[in-house]
Amino acid sequence: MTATGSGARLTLRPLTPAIGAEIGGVTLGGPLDPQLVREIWSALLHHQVLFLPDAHVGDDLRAVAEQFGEVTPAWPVILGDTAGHREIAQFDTATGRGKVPRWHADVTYVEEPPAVSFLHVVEVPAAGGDTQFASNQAAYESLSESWKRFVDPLVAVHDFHGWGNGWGNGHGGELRGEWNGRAIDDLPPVTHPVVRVHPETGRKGLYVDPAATVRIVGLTERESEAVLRFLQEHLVRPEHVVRYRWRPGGLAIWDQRATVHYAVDDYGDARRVSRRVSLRGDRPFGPFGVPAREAV
Amino acid sequence: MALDIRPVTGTIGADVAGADLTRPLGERVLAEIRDALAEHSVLFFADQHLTTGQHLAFSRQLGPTNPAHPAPRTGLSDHPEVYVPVTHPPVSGGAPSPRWHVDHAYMAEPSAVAVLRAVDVPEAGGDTLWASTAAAYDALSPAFRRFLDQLVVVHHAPPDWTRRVAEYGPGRWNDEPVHGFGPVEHPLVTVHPVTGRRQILLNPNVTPSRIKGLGDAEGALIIDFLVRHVTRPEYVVRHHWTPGSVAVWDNLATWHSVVADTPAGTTRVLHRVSLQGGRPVGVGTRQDRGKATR
Repeated sequence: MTATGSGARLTLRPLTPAIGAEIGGVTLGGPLDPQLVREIWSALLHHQVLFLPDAHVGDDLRAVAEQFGEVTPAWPVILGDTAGHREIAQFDTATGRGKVPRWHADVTYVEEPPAVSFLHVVEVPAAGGDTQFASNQAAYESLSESWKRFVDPLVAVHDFHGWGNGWGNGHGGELRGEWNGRAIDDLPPVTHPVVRVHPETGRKGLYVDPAATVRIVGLTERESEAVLRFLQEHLVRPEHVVRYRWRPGGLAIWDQRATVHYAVDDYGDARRVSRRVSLRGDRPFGPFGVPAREAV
Repeated sequence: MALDIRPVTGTIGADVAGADLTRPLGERVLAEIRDALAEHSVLFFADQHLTTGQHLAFSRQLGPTNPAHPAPRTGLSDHPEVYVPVTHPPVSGGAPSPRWHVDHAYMAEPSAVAVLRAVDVPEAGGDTLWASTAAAYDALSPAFRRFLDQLVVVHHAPPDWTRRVAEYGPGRWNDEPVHGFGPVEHPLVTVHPVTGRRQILLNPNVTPSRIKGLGDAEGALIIDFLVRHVTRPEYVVRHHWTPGSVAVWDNLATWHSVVADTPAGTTRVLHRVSLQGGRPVGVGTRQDRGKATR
């Protein structure tokens, strides 16, 4: 039974009212029962991030992820250390990389950001190294009706260069790679709706990735700065956040369309090792459809 | 060592197992708890299920207690030392969140320690956050620390306290009557009496405070920066309440706040008892033993 990944006794415990649930009674190594995949996916859409501390993922994270959807490259540009697999992002503090203590969603600076990601945390410090996830849907819903009406039609520019030089995962060097079957030799800014309608649930979310969102189209520079600052701070208020403490071998599955996350950097030089695989997503659209490509 | 003490994050908080808080604790265990509190700033004891009497008895073993607040009739009518915090409904857009604060910072002698127990808590929602101001202070540049070390903050009591005294008579604090509440000055940076670590004493969201000697805009800038800095995830522990659990925290070493996400109509009841404290000690004063920061 364990070889075929069953969830006969799948247990689910919500971690906060807005976001996050811990799942038990599931083993993910090996081929998975399609009914289990559907159950997990349904829980994911509802809770936006799932934590499976005892899923016994094994060494092949890609094999787990590909049962849920189409696997993408880790990033659209070539990286130094993906251990031979461009689809597996390796984070290892021993290599001097792997810390991202800033709020972000992964790879929003392309037209089709990833939909869902899997993180397998292999090694953790004795204390510290929690990850926080914020629900962009809870954030949208807690805005006043006036603000919702204001932001609903807005469009924002997401720029890889918005990350700045603080991006510690080897992006230095040439921009060359592959994304969703297309060759990449440049990463021009893209436009996404400020309010993203979830393609599966229809729920609205505040899609203003704090790392890559650089400005709101149609506002003056100062208006844009003020509005973005408000929205990005509102997005990560504790009421919209779950903070997770890892055990070695833990797995998180999160909806990149509905969340941003933050890797807490409170453990000094202690070693922390994890790997990530992502699934392909589609082009974000808002209440008024897909944004026009903006000449930036 | 009788207790099993495990840090919760890299900078603040520890889970403590092996103590039965329903019974009198020996001096050795109490000493361990005090040491752990000095080191971790907030301690979590699971599965204690204290009665009100046991809550008070445990607290008194750590030190003399105070009423819930220095204003009259703010505690339970039959147990004036027990304060029942109001659960804030989910915030929509408006009020600043979260409401970080230090208990009784507006008193010349704020509480030293508080003991909070979960009486009736929901399965999800209503987590409490604590921030280590010492960890936050240590992360500042030497130049900025030197600047902050000299600053003094003026604190004001909630206006409601003055009204209560007018209506019900004097309150009580540190075994003395309290007839009124004037502005109180504390150093912005205080020194922990045991560890010597430097801490940031501010009460940002509950009662307005200002920095003495700075212009309004200058003071607001510093306070705004410090709030953002101290509440970074790296200096914060977020605690999820389970039935029967108890938290003990060092009130002058931390700020705390509740997460206002308890769904409407859900019950969330916690009881708090506060311990008497002394005057906060500033940097370079006679009482500051001059221990360097880490």
